[in-house]
Amino acid sequence: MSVFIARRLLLLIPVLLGVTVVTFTLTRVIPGNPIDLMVSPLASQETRDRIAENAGLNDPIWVQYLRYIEGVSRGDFGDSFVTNQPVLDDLKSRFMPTFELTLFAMLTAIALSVPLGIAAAVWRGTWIDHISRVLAVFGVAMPVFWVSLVAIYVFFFLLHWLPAPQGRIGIIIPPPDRISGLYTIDSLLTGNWKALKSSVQSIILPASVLAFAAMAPLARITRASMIEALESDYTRAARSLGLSESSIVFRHALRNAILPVITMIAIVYGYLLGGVVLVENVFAWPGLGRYVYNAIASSDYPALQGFILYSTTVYVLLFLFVDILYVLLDPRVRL
Amino acid sequence: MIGPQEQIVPGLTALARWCRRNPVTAFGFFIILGLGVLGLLAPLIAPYDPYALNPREKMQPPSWDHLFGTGIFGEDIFSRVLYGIRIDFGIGLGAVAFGLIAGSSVGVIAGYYGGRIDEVLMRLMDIVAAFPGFILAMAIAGVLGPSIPNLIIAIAFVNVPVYARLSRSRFLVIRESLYALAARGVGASDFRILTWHLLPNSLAPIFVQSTLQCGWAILDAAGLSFIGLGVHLPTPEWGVMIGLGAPRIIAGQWWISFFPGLAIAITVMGFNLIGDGLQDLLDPRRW
Amino acid sequence: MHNIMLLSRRIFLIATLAAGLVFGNTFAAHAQSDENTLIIAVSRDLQNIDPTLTSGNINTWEFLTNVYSWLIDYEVVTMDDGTMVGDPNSFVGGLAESFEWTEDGTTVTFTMRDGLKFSNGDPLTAESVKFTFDRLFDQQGVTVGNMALAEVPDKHHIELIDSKTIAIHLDRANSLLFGNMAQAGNSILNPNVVGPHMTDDDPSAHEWLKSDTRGTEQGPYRLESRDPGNQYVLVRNENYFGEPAHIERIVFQVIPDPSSRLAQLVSGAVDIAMELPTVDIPALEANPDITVHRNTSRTISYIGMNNEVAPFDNKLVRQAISYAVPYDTIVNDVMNGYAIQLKSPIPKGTPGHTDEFFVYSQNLEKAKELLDQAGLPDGFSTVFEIPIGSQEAKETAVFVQEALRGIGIDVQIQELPGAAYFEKIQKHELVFFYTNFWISINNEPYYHVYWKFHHSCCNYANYANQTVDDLIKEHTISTDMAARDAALQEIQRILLDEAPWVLLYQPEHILAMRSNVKGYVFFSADNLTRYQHLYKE
Repeated sequence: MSVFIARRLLLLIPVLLGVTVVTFTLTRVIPGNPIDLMVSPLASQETRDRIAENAGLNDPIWVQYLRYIEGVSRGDFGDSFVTNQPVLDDLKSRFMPTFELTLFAMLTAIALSVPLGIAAAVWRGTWIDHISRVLAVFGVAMPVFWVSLVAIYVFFFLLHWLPAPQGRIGIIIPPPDRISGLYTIDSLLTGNWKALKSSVQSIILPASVLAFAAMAPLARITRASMIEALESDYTRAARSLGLSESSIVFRHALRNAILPVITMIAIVYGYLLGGVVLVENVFAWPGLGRYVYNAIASSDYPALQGFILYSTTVYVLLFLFVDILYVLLDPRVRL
Repeated sequence: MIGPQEQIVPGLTALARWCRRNPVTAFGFFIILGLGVLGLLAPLIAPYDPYALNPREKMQPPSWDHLFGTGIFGEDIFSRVLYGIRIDFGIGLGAVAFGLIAGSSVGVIAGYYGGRIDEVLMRLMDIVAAFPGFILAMAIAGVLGPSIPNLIIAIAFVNVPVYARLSRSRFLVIRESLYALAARGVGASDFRILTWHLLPNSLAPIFVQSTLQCGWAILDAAGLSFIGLGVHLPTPEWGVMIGLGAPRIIAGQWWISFFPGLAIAITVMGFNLIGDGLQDLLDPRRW
Repeated sequence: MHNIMLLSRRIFLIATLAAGLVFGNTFAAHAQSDENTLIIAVSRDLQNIDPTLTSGNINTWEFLTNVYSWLIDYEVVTMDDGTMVGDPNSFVGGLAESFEWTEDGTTVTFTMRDGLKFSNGDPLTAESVKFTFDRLFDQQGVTVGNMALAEVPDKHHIELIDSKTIAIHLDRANSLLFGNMAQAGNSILNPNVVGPHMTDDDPSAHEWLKSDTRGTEQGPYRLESRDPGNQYVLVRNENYFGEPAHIERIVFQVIPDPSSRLAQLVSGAVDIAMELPTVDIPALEANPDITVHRNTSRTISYIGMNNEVAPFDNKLVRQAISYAVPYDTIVNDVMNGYAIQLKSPIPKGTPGHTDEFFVYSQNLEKAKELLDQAGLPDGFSTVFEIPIGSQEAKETAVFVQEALRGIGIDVQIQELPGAAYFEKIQKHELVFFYTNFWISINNEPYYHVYWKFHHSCCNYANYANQTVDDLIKEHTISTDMAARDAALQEIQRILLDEAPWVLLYQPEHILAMRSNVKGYVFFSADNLTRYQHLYKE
């Protein structure tokens, strides 16, 4: 097993190196000289050149690349041109907001879609099957940023149930003391009810919107793999042995159907990394999505590189994790 | 002699039968064809020039004069949504076509030559696939700058690995098949093997994939345009239109963003229904 | 050299930093809005805060203006209606108690106040001033260009007389020096704090100054804490020489989305919201809980046409476009009436401005005729470049595009990312473009025309006219006021005839605050708020 994991990890290295090459090349051809954003246009050319020199922008591109790789291997992603902070610190500080958002979205989506998928499989062809199908079809078809806007209109403008987009917490509300970094959890743990109310109000819409987008594929794969499991030989055998239907569904079929669902959870989580860029922009959510958007718009190379490298690593590790789970859970997969 | 009438009628009845058996897929076709027709006839149907501005009537709610209301320039949203069909369908189909051509070329070349070429190409595909799709598309679109062709390239590029892997696997299966052997027997050139026998045979699942990808492409394109990395203003592209209305949502002017978004949802749904339906034909266990 | 470009948010929305939270940092400052705290919604975080080198988005300039002070300052005068404004053309002592010009106007001597201190308690003397100007000239930063224009070419022209006295020598008498001196670019720095950060690689301590000010402030406020991407907090500087600020602490909260800033202001969560969309201002003006301060800015918005690139090298084409643009629509619908039409390249509010020569109003027939005369009866195609993320630019572009379509000019709107836009505008590579970020801080007409039409730096439209060049050259450094005025009229006449730009508008500077916040003073030099004047009722 550990040999398998080690081999898979080793295989990641060339892929990630390739990723850095792509990222690096991409970021260097982005139009716009970042010096123009950093330094007044009225400063003398020599001064501007000196700043560029110090930032290493005048070296040949392969030198810049090697320096970058060398830095990355030390955990140094460079400093953001815009924030003047180390990119790694920027990413860290924006990680928790995004993690909180996607975590709640994923949990909500799983909690709703897995039971729905099971029900649709068990009662195939009934109203619940149809509802879940309609939901699945709509869920993937609606642009998340549009659903976000509609949700804001309904819950803020029409119903006044929730505040206008304000990020993670109301502006005059002090965030809770830090325990986990998740505002909702921390305010609950510290009994800070004011912060809890505000942070829940803030997260509810963006998380629901993302959950809605994530539900469709999850429900769908749950249903499909449940049907497969329910129609398999061993389920038939179990039935013939007179096991109760609920025991068949939950103890036998579900266990066998769970692997594709887990894979899909990983895929959907990866997909959320993209969707979150749009949703964070609509909800003023201070996470990675906003960060990368700003990085692109202001030609902040180090920030953009750092983010892409980070998200790609997460993405790749996610799939590695799924592969390992497969090996652990499914005896049919041979190493 | 058999007249044209007799030829058409059995055709229609067959179609009707097929539709009855696959109502959902038929519905998908109906949506896409219907929208396609609306898009083609946009100049006839649209009550206003989609680029006409009328600041005196800006931001008006839907009414009989302006079915979907007017936007921040006083532009007629309904007319723009209609013209948007052309743009968004164009981007979706264009991205799929580009991705398909590039991806299947890579896949077929890898499959055909095998060995080191195969290895190198597929590792390259792994690298591209390692990126979260939307984020890579965003970076590419940011690099290339906003325009419809650039948008198509960005989205197509991200999907190249999907087609490459699919077409490579199809290719390998088919190569072992009779067709290839027979063609070799008659001594046809490599080129002929590729084009005349193998490609068409690998098309079926790829076609299904393409239909689904078309929906995704439209979604991604709209997302990129929404954040300003897509098409030029004031092109009546749905994502741009949603973006123009986004700042007005808090003030309650919902219609500016609402209708273009609805158009996206319906279109993507149409493509997905078709894709799903076709997939059912290949694998009936699925939904 | 510094004409400070206040890169307005409209332009720089995209450079906005994401709001974020620092790991392991519970906030030092918490925004409970009370009498002693102001909470301000700003669009983005601070950028490079080196006062002599920053590219200067509004927030950064405003921050620098509140933590630093200068030898001299703008005089605050009371208008007839009782409002107070900072006069951009009248100067009083700042860190210097007094100043004195020699008869011939070539030397000004500053006498420092007694007992001046930096925020960390270090004494501030004429030596600090000398240190500051030496660094500034060595760094060749922004301020140097303005100094040079005022005939102060190098650091040897700054003479330390004793620890209370410092003199600036001008090579020739002129009226340009003071206009830029009450500005962040002349912030006096603390040698004890900045000195240790000066290294061989970085002789001007830019690396430190670009992200910190602590200990070297001497203005009404000092930096208390920064939570990058999310907020920065100023606290009253007890060592400030002037009247202490009324409000003790100011929390600047980064809220990138304008409609969210608006919502927070209306709900009372913040006291002041900056950079709000003009379309929402009427509702705010009707709201009794909100006070909206409106002042016409000298900021110029115009469409630049590269005068060296065909077909814009043809005066008739430029005039045709000037006759095609829908001025009223832009003022009334893009700016929602919160702007005045710009009728001379020298904005209203600058001495010498005249709208006498302005003849353009939308007249498509005339425009078409001019295009015919220019030999382009079928029009042409071009790209109109605007900065990404600017609502004003976007809307203006769409209206301009439609209008030009009416005379056969096919325009494609290209939104450029911030860095690309600035790179291209500074290299004069934009051919047909929108710009709205320029305000000449120094409210001196020759200063304005010098940078915009004479010096290669900021003549983005590559306008070249020998007569105009000669006039600017002759009269910029001159004390013959009558001749200067006459020449200025001539310059404006030529510029309006030759139409190097399509003149669009001067926006109003709008600042909306809760009605219990009082004491606002508008400084037309730079539109930046000096928070020491504000108090709460």
